[in-house]
Amino acid sequence: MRIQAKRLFGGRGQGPAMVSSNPISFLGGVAPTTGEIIDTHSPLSGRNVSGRILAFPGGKGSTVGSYVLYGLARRGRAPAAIIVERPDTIVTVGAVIGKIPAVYGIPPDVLHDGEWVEVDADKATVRVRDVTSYDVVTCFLRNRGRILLLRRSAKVGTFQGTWAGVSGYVEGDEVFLERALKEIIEEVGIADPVLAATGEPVYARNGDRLFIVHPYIFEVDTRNVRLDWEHAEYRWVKPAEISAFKGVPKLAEAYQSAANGVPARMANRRRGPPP
Amino acid sequence: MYLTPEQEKLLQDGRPSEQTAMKLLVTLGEVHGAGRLIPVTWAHVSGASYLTIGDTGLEFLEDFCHDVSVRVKTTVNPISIDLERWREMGVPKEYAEKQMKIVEAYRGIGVEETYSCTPYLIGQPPSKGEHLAWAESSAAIYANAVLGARTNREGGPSALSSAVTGFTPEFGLHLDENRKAGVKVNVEAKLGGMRYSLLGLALGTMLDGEIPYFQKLPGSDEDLKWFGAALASTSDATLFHVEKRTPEWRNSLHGRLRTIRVTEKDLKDAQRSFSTGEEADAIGIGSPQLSAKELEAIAVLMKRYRPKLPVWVFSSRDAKSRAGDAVKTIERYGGRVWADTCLEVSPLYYMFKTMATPSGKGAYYLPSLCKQKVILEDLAKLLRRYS
Repeated sequence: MRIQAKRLFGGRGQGPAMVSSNPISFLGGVAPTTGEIIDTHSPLSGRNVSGRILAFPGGKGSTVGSYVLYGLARRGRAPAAIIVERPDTIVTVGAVIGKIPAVYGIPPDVLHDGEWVEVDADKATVRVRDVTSYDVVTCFLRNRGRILLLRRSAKVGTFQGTWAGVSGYVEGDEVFLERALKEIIEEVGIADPVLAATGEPVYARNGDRLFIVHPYIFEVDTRNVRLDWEHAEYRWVKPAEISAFKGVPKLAEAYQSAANGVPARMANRRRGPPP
Repeated sequence: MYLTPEQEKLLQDGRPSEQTAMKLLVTLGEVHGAGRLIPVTWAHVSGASYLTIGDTGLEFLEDFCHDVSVRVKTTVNPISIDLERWREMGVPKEYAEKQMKIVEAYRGIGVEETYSCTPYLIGQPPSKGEHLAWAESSAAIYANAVLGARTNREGGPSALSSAVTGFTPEFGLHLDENRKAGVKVNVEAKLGGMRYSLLGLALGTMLDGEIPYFQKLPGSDEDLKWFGAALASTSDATLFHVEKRTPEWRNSLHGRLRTIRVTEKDLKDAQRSFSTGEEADAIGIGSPQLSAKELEAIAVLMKRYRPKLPVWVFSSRDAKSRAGDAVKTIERYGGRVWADTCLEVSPLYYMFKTMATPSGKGAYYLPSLCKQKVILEDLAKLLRRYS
């Protein structure tokens, strides 16, 4: 897989991933001369960040933490590259003054601890050779405030029996939104859905596969659903109920991303000519 | 991000530290969605106290400062010792030597050696609408709210980058649309003295990133200094508006806003939660540093109560020189008036374990930075209690 992140500071680095699901406090958390994690509350306590691809949600604690990254880089003990989900000031400043290759916008759970990762921060890409990524569209159809969930049938290739939105793989150079509209017709037989919102992609890692889920919300004017072979049943649920269903990986996160995403009017306007 | 030819040249062909500075400003700008870099008239850098930045911070400054000079007026936050009287503070020589290396690094790039967290009290303050790059949260909130100048809450390295380039990325509080009030605050409690600090501490915990708006908040500019410093400690607030008082109150309200009530109980709770000590070893007055006017008020109190335990007063060299008589009076009655440093960035742990203070910001930071237990109490009450 090769996934697109955003560039924080340029350069390239590769090495084994060191994955933290918790924010990292560099001041008092990482020894500035060796790179050892000395925060006894951290699950990574005792390990060393030097030469690793450090993937974590963000920094926390004192802004002096930037200088710790600088001190490591100065001694050749810095991480080989940084993959941070949210680029806070501590990590941003630390990466720049330490000249550490760094990208952001990728959650740490995309990677498995220990696997070999290549980061090209100039192009803002993250690559893991033995993992394959798949672009998937997932569409949440909304009618009078309720969201359509579908239970996947026993005949589909993945995640049988779990609940999902209208979903499908994006093939070749296909436009994501066109794939979404095709899937809606095929899977539930509803015509003329109106795009309401587009979310940032959500990543779901499953073994040696990575699903890059592109979420959408569509308004529809009917609750009449005609299922095809891919689904066994359907329900119209309140948004708050989605997380209670046994869903495909990151189902609730995908809905949330679309709900927090760019409203369609804005999205359409963005595509128009500049004012 | 759009860069002017001049900015592009500095990024590509500037001296190494200028290139680093430009990269830092551009990166921070891109992360925050800034469209360009704008000129600033004044940078105020933090990260001067050896107590807070330590050896790795010193290393960075020595590396960064050796090949650059400031391009705009640049003032510096307090260091961790009084440059003239550090021996009286119980500070070991090795510690002072490390601190002096930080001073030399800043001196080398041509800063104004203010060593003050109240740069707005030294010389001509910034004007309404002026763009600044100020680190030091208490100074940034004062500049925005009370003076109507425009600065984000910078960190040490970003403010230093603005100092040596003259630019800051245009986002956040530099833009009109981000300076509007987000919540109304009704104060249903008595105010005065330390209570401005308590109000700041309490309100900070109730905000969710909004800019607060007060229909009524009486008090002097000094009172707003204590309030703002405490508010900026418990929240990321860097601006507030007061009706008929602060420069931008007229245009700051739009739409319907929720209202927060701050009650007598909230202030008491704040005082209780930040009071962790029983008996004080000393009284510490500062954070932020005291103005000349405040030094005069303290001289009067010292004369009245003649306290029996050490009273450490933190001010700027500038204010101290303008309040010479008051300083003499304070010291005659057992106090010490330090310059260049401030309450929670000086190594108090060499001398004390429990510090009594009327400063909300001090009470917030003393436990973590100076390993102190804290008694948060009104100054007159403290001086009377220990007289």
